[in-house]
Amino acid sequence: MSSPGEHDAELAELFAQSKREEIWQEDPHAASAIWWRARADELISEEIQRRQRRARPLILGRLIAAVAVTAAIALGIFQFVQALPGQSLEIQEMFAGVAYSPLSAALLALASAPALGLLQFFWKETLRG
Amino acid sequence: MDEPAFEEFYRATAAGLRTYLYRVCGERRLVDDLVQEAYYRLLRSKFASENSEEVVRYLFRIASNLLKDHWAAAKKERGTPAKIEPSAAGASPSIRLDVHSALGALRPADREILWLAYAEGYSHAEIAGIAGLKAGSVRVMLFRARERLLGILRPNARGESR
Repeated sequence: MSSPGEHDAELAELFAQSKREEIWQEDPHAASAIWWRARADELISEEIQRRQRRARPLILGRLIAAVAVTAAIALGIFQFVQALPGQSLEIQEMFAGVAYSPLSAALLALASAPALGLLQFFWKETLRG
Repeated sequence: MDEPAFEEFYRATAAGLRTYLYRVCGERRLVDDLVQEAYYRLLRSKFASENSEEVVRYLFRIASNLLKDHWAAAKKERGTPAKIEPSAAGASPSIRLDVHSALGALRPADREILWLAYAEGYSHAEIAGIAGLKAGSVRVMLFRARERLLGILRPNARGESR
């Protein structure tokens, strides 16, 4: 067994010579092709990220709209139940007797308008994308 | 890195990277794929350093990882590690053939650290960074690999001196 470093210079020369002797046929356009491949992929991933960032407020808006619509519907049902006449009344009488309060109607309209607007916008975006 | 800077970097480093990969894996066709992929990943990684040596080391590290990934996939398929093929590049002086075939008789990990140490001149810490090893392990592994290589080269040297 040799001591550490004993043949290091010899081996380094041997390897260096082996490295020098190796000849490779290089494609002159190889570097350019790799660079453009990387650049194209970079542009594509930037565009995907940009689209994802742009869609983020839409997704958030849709979520808020869905919550608002659900809350409005829940409130409407609550008002409907509250406004129900006695159980003994006929169906027709029951519907005739139902009256939404101005507050419920306003809340429903308030929640539905932006929700529908956002949904329509999102639908358009989906079709365009 | 813009296109002209990359082309210059490629010209300066591609041959060294190719030879390193070829000496470690021994498959010429695989080397072409790995070289392309290594440079591509270097560009995509946006690794930036004022020190060009550091960029080269990072490139070698990517190439080393790619090679290990390839071996892992090939081992799953074939169940055996890659065997080094006889050198086919240009003229074949005996000394290069000796190194090439001697390396072929070693384990891939030995080939890698020997090449990085003696052909590229990297320190133990740098080899550790490239090959994903601990610096302390590199010292021991390199010593053992060197012994194995000398064991293979010595009979050849004796044969030539006769």
